Amino acid sequence: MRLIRQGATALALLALAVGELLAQRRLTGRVVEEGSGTPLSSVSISVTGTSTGTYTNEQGTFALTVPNGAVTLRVRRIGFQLRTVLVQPSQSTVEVALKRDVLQLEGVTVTSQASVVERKNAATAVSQVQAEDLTRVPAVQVDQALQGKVVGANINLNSGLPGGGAQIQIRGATSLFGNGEPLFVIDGVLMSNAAISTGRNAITQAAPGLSGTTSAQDAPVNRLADLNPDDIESLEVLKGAAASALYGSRATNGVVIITTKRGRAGAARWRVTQRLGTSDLLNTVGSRVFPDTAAAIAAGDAVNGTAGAASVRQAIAANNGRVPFFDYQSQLYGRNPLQYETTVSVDGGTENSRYRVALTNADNPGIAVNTGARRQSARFNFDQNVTSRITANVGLGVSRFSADRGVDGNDNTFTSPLYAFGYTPTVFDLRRRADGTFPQNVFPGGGGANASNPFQTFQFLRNNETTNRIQGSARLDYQALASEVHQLRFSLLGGVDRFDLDGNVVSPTFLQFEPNDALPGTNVQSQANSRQFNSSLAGVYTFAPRNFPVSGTTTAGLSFEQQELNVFRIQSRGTVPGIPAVGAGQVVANQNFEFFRDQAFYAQQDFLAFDERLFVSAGFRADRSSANGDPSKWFYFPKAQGSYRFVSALPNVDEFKLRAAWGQSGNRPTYGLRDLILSNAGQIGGQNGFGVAPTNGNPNVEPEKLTETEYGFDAQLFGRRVALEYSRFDRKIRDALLPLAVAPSLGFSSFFGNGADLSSRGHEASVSWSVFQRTGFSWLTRATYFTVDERVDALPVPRFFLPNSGFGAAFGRTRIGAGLPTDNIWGNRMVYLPVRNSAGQVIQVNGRDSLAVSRVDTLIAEATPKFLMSFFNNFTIGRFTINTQVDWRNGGFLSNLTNTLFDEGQNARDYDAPSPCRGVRPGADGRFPAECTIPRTAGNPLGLVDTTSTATLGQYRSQRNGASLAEPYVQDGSFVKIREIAVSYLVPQTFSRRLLGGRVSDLRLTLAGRNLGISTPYWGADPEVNNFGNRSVRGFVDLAPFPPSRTFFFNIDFGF
Amino acid sequence: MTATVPAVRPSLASGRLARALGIAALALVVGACSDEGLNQPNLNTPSPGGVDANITTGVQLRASGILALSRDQMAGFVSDVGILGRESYNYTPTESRNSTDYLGPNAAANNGFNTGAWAGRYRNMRNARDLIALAERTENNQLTTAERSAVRGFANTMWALELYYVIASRDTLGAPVDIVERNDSVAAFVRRDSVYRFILTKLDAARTDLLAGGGSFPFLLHTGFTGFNTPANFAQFNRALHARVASHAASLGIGGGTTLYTAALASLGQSFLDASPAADLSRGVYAVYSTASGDNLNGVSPQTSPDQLAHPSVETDARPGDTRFAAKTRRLATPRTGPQLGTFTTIATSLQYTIYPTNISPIPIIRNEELILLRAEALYFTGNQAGALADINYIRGRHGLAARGSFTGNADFLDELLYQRRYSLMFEGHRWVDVRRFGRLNTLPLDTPNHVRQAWQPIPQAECDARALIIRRIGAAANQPYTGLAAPSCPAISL
Repeated sequence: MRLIRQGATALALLALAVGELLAQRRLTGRVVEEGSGTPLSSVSISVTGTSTGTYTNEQGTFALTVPNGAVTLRVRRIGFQLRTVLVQPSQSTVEVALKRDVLQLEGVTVTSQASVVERKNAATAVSQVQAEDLTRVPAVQVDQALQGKVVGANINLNSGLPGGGAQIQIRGATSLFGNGEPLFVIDGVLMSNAAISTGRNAITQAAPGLSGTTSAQDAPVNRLADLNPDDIESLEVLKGAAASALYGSRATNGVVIITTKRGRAGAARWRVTQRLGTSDLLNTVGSRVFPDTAAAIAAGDAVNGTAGAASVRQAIAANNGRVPFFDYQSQLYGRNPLQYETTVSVDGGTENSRYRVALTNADNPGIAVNTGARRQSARFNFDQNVTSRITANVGLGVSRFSADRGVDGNDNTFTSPLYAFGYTPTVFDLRRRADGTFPQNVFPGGGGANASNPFQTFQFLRNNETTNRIQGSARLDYQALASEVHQLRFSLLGGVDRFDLDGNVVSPTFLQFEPNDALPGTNVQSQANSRQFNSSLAGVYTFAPRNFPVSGTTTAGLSFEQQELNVFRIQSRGTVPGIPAVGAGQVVANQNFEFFRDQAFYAQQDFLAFDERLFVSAGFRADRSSANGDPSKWFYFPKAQGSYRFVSALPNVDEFKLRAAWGQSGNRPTYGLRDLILSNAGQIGGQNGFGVAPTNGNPNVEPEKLTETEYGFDAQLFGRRVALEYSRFDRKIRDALLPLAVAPSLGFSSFFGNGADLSSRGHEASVSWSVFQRTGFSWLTRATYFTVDERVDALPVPRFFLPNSGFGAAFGRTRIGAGLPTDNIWGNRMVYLPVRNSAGQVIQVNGRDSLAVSRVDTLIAEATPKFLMSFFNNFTIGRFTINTQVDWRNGGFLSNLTNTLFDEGQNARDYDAPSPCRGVRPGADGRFPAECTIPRTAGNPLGLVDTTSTATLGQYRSQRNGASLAEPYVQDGSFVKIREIAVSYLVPQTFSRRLLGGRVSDLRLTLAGRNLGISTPYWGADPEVNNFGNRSVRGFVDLAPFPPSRTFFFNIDFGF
Repeated sequence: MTATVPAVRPSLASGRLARALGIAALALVVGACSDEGLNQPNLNTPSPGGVDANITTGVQLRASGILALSRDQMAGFVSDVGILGRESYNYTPTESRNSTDYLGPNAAANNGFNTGAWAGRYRNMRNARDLIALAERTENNQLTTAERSAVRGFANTMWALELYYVIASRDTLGAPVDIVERNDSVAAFVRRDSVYRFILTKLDAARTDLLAGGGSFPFLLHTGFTGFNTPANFAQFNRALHARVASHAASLGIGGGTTLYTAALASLGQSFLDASPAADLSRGVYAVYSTASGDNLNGVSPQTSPDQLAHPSVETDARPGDTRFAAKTRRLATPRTGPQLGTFTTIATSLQYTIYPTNISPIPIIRNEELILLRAEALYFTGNQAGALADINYIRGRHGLAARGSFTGNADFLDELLYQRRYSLMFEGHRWVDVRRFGRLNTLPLDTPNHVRQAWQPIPQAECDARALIIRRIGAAANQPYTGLAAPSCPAISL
């Protein structure tokens, strides 16, 4: 208490030290672009050593009251290089010309929750994405827009469904069982990125069991989707521990700091963006066109025996003996819906009160009927200079996001379209009939009794989730001291983030598959209430002594955070026809709470020395959390970093910066791991019984700890026309959570504990080159490269298979073991092994080791790509601007079960292609290639696959899969994707004013497209999918996902 | 600092705001310094603290938990002993391990199916330990001294019962008997004979507590304990278990044999044994089932598990006139065969037990008929052959068989006893244990030459692994069966 009293006294004293009565003068000026002389608006002008500052208006002019005497102005605008200008005491006007920052080397980067450092000094790799890069080509949700734009981040979508479901993994896996998602912070508000299932499992039964409402395979939308990309001014990804340590025990997966757009002083500036677009199917897995009647009948017979063969025969007979072909996927996913997005924003205000209001209404229907996403959002930001020393910033975001998700992914009911299409020969017309009814699909999949008609399912099934969200932030800054030598600022910040999700699955009684569980009609009502609150207090003190080469910034603060999530669902089967309500029939209800409370304090010291060439920083954050075994124990996360700039040290090297950083961060245990609990032993004799839980809590559970070393260099070459960035990171994760088995004779079987050691290391590099920079024509090109190698270093338990990582040895799943890559695919394959005698010695034949082929459950591939590259180009030709983004992923394997489905149904598009083993003969060593062998069976004593001259690819794959071999379906997911192309035209002002009136400042027309093309050896439609949704280790299962679409937009964008 | 910033009066607005800022900041500082709000209970699952907050409620919830968990393992035990003792099969078409892992080459595999009811048994012993600890709490005098004693008696009896099931299925492997507190430790494996002695001691202590337990338990027992739901009645159940365990131990030669048989006779005298002419042979304590939500169904009833079938020898070995065969089995329309796996094959059977006719039929834990047979056994081996004959003839008479003449020797008595036990206690979890304790495992028929007779259920892999890890960590020598920490029958693990 004594400390607190002293602190309060100090605060009160500082509050008194307000105001300064220096003589002042008026300064006016103008800022233009260097070269063209075009006036620049929205340029920030600040007087160094004071809190005084303003912005230029549309004419590029500004007026400012500055102290008497010489002052230094910092003149900066995003997209231009910063300039500092010395203004003599006698000067009353000033003209500044800014150079374009084509290589995006300017700006600031955060070093703590309350302080920033110039990007040129940053000691860690900086990953910033600006507004225009996020919204040039519209994306429904931010994570989709970020794909390829953050070096070091791997972003995977659950499927091609519009409206999201994505995972961002930064610099590799950091956890096996803990949280694997980065922390999202919007204007200081910690934002929930929870992914909550609507209860789709009630339909798909991906996790079988009638009371199982949800599973890990429900492809839920992560709640980043609520955020309107148009509201984002800039987004910074803190990747390494040295950067993210400031967010302590929630930071191992990186922190994404989002800053929303704010108002600038001036008359109201309106901006209207109208987008109109459409989308279409980018790629499908296709279907087999049967070469002849016999093949079609054989396929029918393979799936459904004589009945199946008979119905295929019937369909062919009805088509005058020719085999009909219905391209189911192009039909179901064949819509070209009209998409639109309207954003209207206005900002303005006086120098002391600035506002910005933005409203967006976006509708993005999907390529299948009854799918799509809609978002209405409003954001209101208000900034007020209360006094010359106190500023207040308030922000409020309100949004409603509604997504219709249809059904896709893994199922056990044959309701997922690619399941049904995989097994149904392409000879039936399943589309809606003229009378409005749907044909019954006579083909049950996989030998079961269940069948569905996806056309009917999509027409009538409702799988909707609607979220209403409010995010509010309030921030108060108090500039206690503002002299050239001393600056002291306090910030008080409070943030609230809450949403209510309303999930709704309604599967009417009349759908073909509904009677299969003997309870026609399935409704699920899901409800999630999330409330998060955080507040923090920070003080930043800068000491910049005159005539001394070192200046220092001290930051200290504390923070309090709370998160609540309450999810409950009611499922009913055997519903009343026509009613979406739950309650009738067999009802199952469940509920899950989560509650976290965290506290932290931190301190940091930065030094800038020798003309801002040397930057050194060190600090720590201390955290404690209700999730830890000992909630009152503080965990300390230190960091230290430094950089040095060599300016013009070598010819053609304008600047060369060496940097190194070291830091630690943590990953809080997931909810409930610490709790000693009793489990419900069930009822007996009408009494409830409770006893020891098989998996008990661990009162010693602690955060997972990440230690990272990062070093690299940044260079600017050839008159700032080329910029290079290179970083090497080396991270060690200690105390990773995992279930620790104990001897069951203890009375329980396991508990979650800290123990696994993981590591990931990799390289990040980028090169930007301003090839041409002339008025009227410029070309900027940029390439990024990223690679990561993840390993399990040590494990306190025997090797184990990661739950929910795949579908067993025959398809591949992840094995966790010391020395293994963290996200390996482990499954059955045929290999040649030396034959040993009973003494264990290798038997020699003709002087050589004898080999025999056998099936081994072993490491097949890695799901981590070898590298990811992205290529960006920006051309300006007169009034045209062209932007392109192409992504290249090398490696990254998937377990393609979609392929398995289509092969089992004899429906794969390349089923009739020649088998790779067609006509294969043994090689010189007398051995057949291992990939043409299968385990020996009674009927096939050689253990060879079909090597006849008619063997087909589909048979080859099926045969191997039938022998429980994972290999043909573990496939290379390399790709080259044309991610974005945007061509925009700036309409001449004379014309746009004639068209829209005199006040129009600029009118831009843009044609933009996303996911325009993909080139891949991968069999599936898109390698960037993940059946198992949000998890710590990357998912690699492709199982009947919604196919990807490409989108085209025409944008009109103008301001007035 | 003071030189460059002249001290001036702050403006009113900024002063007020600065004060507000100061107060808000102060609140935050105070908030962040207190860790009271950080101690949050789990909101989804009850904690021991929550359930035990009120001792009376807690005792009921935990006692029911012990009964429920014990009951949940009953069907598995009956099925396991049934298959191993060639009384029954589990011919689930999609799960060949129900045969291969009991009758075939995998019968001793630590990671197979034949490792049933290990973790759950020890969990329930821990439950019993926790229940005793709860009842020992004296705050608010919620329980009287007598009630505390009754709880102890109940919990220790259930503990002993669980341990009996463990040693009955693990036999010469021995078993841990203590529940240790620390996660990173394990209790030592104890030799079989010591495990039996431990159980007997525990049952004796429990009886003492029960007799001091007053007129009623401070919790309700379910209907399976009808007639045994007061401490005094429950003591009869305790003595019945004591008689069973003492007889089994005696038959294994523990304590020289006769001493424990004598003790068994004493216990039978204090149990609910009733050999009067119209005595209810089925009187006893049962595991009960119900269709209520959250309750369990009888897993060995043909209604819930139609793949549970009877061994054909049940029919061929039945003596003419024995009413038990007809009363306890029925014939299916078509014979069924179990899964075939490589060289492992199963034989066909068309018999199914009707002992548990419905999905809520109770399974006996111990009943009068067993007590009479236990008395016959104990009397015979303490020299009272006439008494033994009377009890055997009583059982024979109740099941349509004529009285027999006196025994010609031990072998003759054992033939008779084991036959009677087999048909009287059929599919109640006895035959395999019985033939083994009298050294007659080889009388079990092998369906095909590839079948084996397994003498014990192996220790589960998880127990092996955890012990191996602990042994490795503390540097103790591995493979010290019975005496060290290592579990017997475990393969060497590679980590």
